[in-house]
Amino acid sequence: MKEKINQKSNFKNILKRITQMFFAQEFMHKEQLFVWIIADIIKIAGLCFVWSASARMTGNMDQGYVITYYVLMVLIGKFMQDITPENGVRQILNGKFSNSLLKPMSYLTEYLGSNIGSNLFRLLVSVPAFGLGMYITNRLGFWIVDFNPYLILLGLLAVVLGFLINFLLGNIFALLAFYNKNMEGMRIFYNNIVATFSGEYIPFVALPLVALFTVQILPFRYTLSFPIEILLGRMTNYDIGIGFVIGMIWLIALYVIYSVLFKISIKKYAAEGI
Amino acid sequence: MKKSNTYKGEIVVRFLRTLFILGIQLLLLTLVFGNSEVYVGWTKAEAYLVMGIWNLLNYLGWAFFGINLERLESRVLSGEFDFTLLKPLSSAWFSSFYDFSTYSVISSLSGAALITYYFVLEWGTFTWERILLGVGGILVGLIFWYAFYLLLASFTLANPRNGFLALVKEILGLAKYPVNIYSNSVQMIFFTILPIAFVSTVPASLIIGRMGGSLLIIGAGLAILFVRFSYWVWKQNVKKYVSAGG
Repeated sequence: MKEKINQKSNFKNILKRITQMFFAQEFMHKEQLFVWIIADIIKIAGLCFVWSASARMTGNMDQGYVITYYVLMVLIGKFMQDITPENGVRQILNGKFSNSLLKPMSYLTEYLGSNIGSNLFRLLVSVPAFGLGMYITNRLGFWIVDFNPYLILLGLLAVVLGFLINFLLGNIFALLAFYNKNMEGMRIFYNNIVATFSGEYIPFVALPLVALFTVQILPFRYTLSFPIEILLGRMTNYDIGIGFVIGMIWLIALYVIYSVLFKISIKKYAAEGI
Repeated sequence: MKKSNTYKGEIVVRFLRTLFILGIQLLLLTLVFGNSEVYVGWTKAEAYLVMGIWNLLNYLGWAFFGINLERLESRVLSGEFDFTLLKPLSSAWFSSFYDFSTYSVISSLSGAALITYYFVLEWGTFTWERILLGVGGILVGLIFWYAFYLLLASFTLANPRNGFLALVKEILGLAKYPVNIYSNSVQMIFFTILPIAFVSTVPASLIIGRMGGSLLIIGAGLAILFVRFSYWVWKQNVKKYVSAGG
């Protein structure tokens, strides 16, 4: 069996190097990434139109809240993305996962670095689009965020929490590839579930109370909507506190679930491919 | 069909996903409408119809040509596309239709369900003329869908890894709702330069009886022109294709 190097002291350096590597790798395909981000912005703009028209016509929610929610999503969404459900699953299915097991570090470090590197690059490319969205929204009188430093700090903490929850969820999902060789449908289904319950398609302000309670206790809210809700400044300190507590409970629970499932699942793994 | 049947679990997952999509779309429309009977000039049943047509075209399009054009990138990168060029067939035709996804047909049932729901609700008001116009409109919508996909996929030949297919998916995704949700200037674009209104809003309007047959004729003409244009762009990109792999 492999020998693990002193991970505690080297984790930071390894993570930094992997992050830099994946940042550079994303830069190689910058044209593709740029188009992907435009595609993502088109999707968000479409949702913005849908909910903005709904707010205008029904009066059930504030139009400024919905529009600012989606403009913030352009930026916050980039922090939170996790490529494990695609890359991790692919590596298990094509046998390249064996390489990760032989490296003198946990494969999670590699995946974490790849996510951070990839997200950093996407974030940088998205900043101009976010700036433009903010400018237009402000000119139209819909921008409601006042950049309170306290809320920004809490928002950033929520982003870190949400990213880690999303990362663990993605890695738990990827473990299914040890048991199932055709993961395409499941992966698309998983993405649909995360996108729906994270508040991407439906802003939670539009939900009735029972549904709102349900999404608040599920982990997906914390992977996108929660930091945006904090930054929007309409949450009470009590609600923010409860949100962080639920998020932390999920983070710990998901880590335990992942660790147990990995120990069980890895015994099933047999490398494939040549 | 036999190939798809190999993964029986996948079929079950696709059915579950179809139900999930249907449920979420119904929830979304319910929330968007709120207590209001009408949303941007469309009733709830009419909005179901628009979304149903979109689902049908999206998943059928994926089943027939989307899946093949998505694979074009890997075929170009591996050099496999060389063999396509050597076949005595149109490379665009072969690259679009050489395989078929049964799984996506399962997902298209969500569209069929929404359209059927509209028909059940409005059964007494239909005329054969409107149904035929609607079917024509859906076919024209499918041709537009194909033209969009082919046009942007063709750039993969000259420049792989360009991300254009993700772009076309999201552009077509804007047609999931009636175009009236967008501002007037955006609507104008969706009827002319970027004619995604013909994908779902126009077929739905033909079925509802808001638009006449003349728009179907205009749409059919535009769709044929658009497909011809996409084929022309494909040929230009084939000229720039450089074999890779080995």
